[in-house]
Amino acid sequence: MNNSTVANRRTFQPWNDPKENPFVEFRNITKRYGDVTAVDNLSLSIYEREFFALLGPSGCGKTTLMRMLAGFETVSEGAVFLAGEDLASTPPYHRPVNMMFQSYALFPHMNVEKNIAFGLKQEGMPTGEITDRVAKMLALVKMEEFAKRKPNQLSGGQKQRVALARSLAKQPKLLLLDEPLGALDRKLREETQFELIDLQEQLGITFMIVTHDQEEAMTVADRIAVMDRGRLVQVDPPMAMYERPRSRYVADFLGNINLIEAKVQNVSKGFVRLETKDGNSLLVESEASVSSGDTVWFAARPEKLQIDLKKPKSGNLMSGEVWDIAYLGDLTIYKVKLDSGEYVKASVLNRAVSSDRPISWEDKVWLSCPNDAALVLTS
Amino acid sequence: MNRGWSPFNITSVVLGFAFLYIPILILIVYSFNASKLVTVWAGFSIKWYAEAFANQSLVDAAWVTFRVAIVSASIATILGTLAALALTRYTRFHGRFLFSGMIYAPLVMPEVITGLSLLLLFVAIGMDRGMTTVILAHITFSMCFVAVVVQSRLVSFDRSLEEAAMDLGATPTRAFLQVTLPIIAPSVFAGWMLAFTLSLDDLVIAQFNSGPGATTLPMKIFSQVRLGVTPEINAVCTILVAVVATGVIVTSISLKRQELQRQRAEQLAAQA
Repeated sequence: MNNSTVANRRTFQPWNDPKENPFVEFRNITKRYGDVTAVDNLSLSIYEREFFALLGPSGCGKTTLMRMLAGFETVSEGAVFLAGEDLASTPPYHRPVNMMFQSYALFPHMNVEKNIAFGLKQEGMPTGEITDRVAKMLALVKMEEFAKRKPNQLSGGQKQRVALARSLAKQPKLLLLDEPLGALDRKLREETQFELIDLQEQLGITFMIVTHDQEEAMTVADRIAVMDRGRLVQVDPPMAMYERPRSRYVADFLGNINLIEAKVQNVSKGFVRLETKDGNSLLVESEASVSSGDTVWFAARPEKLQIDLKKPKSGNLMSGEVWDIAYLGDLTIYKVKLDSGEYVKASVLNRAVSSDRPISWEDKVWLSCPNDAALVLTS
Repeated sequence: MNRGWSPFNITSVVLGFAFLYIPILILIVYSFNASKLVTVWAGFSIKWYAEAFANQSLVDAAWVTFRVAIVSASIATILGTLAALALTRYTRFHGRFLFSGMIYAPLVMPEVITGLSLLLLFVAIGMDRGMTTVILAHITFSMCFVAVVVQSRLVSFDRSLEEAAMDLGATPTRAFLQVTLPIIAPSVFAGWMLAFTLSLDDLVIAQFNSGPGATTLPMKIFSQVRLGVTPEINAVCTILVAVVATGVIVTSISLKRQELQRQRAEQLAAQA
């Protein structure tokens, strides 16, 4: 990869540019199956060259949304636009969009080569060109030596590569990936995620991925849309999504978070003072629109909490007793029972190699967190 | 667990196979009998086969049967496959249960009733009985067998294969011809074989719906047997048994081989 693409990636934020036209636009999309509403009045814009992830639990409507873009589902209300064109009357076989299926959907009666060539043959591409393109695609996914194999003679990872090559062969403007790595084991999945990013940058195609794996979405995507029951909950780049979730749902879906119910005491100059049920006072830097008396949630990620045996001098403090310790190798997670009876998790990076832990079970500890490392969540 | 053969198992297997195959065995053995008397063994001979082939009316009947079977099996396969497709694809229309039940009903319908009702239909519409009516009748009753065989394959067919084909630019027709059909081909072929053999040995329905000049082999055999069993008939029946057995064996070997190939390929993939 050359440096210019890296630099591009660093400043790549078309969604913040008002002059930029969306490449894919869902405009007030609703999809109903009988009485069930799978997608509910949803609007979303995706920009050219973006790697976009739709994230949500199963049944949240993310796959339905993608299938409407591919043309396998009709839209009950609203419209889907691709490069400014309404797709309503375009059947799937005429859309400049290709999809990689969750099951890979490789044609079992054709070998790898013929699978990749299938789309090109439908186009009526001359045989010579097809041969060249297939060779290029096989090289792209490093599957040259498997060209003559049938799909059932391939391992899961190899099938995934062939499916990817087949969906890229027609050089679509937009590639849809439906849980593309779901069938791979963890190690292979992580490697493949990085390969997908490289591939997307190399080809300059817009990618849209559907996944229920938050780590996968955070790894590959420029922006993530979190969905819940047919609606978009939040659309943001991974870091903003993780550090500034706008609801408990998003905060909890992406990573771990400690939530403590509290009442707003006062609000001033970007700071919110909260009081927990047991009378502990907490100060959080927040732009949340709340007023005194509101019930809100104090939210802090485990890695933002510091754990000490001695009382720290500053920050938001909470005291408690170590209830459980989970040693994960890279991190140690302490589950602390606060004086109020609530449980809070704090994670500590294991920098040094040592066999003894300074903090042990049933130790009285202090948890602290700076004002700007916690959040106030209202919903 | 003891996987050996207990005396009870051996007895039941021997009795079962004896029950199934001794009558056929007797028929085959006596077809090679030199004597004119069917039940008296007088040495080995193949003269009855020569005689059967020299009997023009028998050869004609065989030829009729063969043509009827080929044509009716082919049309029944097309119609049955289409019915199976409709039944597995459009699972949400009103009255689906009634429709799929009606596809299965002819499987258990007494042949006499099928034959008689078809006869009444042909008479009502003024159709002269002959080879065409026999073919139509055979299509009607074997179509549902094809539908059942093909449907059982389509149930496990991954719809995303067809979607992938369309996604790659194939029209629905091309997706069906280039992807779906090649994949379900073994079951379509099995359906055809079933329809073919059903048509080959049908007597009752043909009896009702046949007319002059369209005597099938089972009809011919049946009418000759009423005048007494001849060794010639034994020879014809033996040939019939051979044809059907060959068909069944070829089909099952090819299906078995396909299965073995698939298993070997999967082992290969597991090692990769």
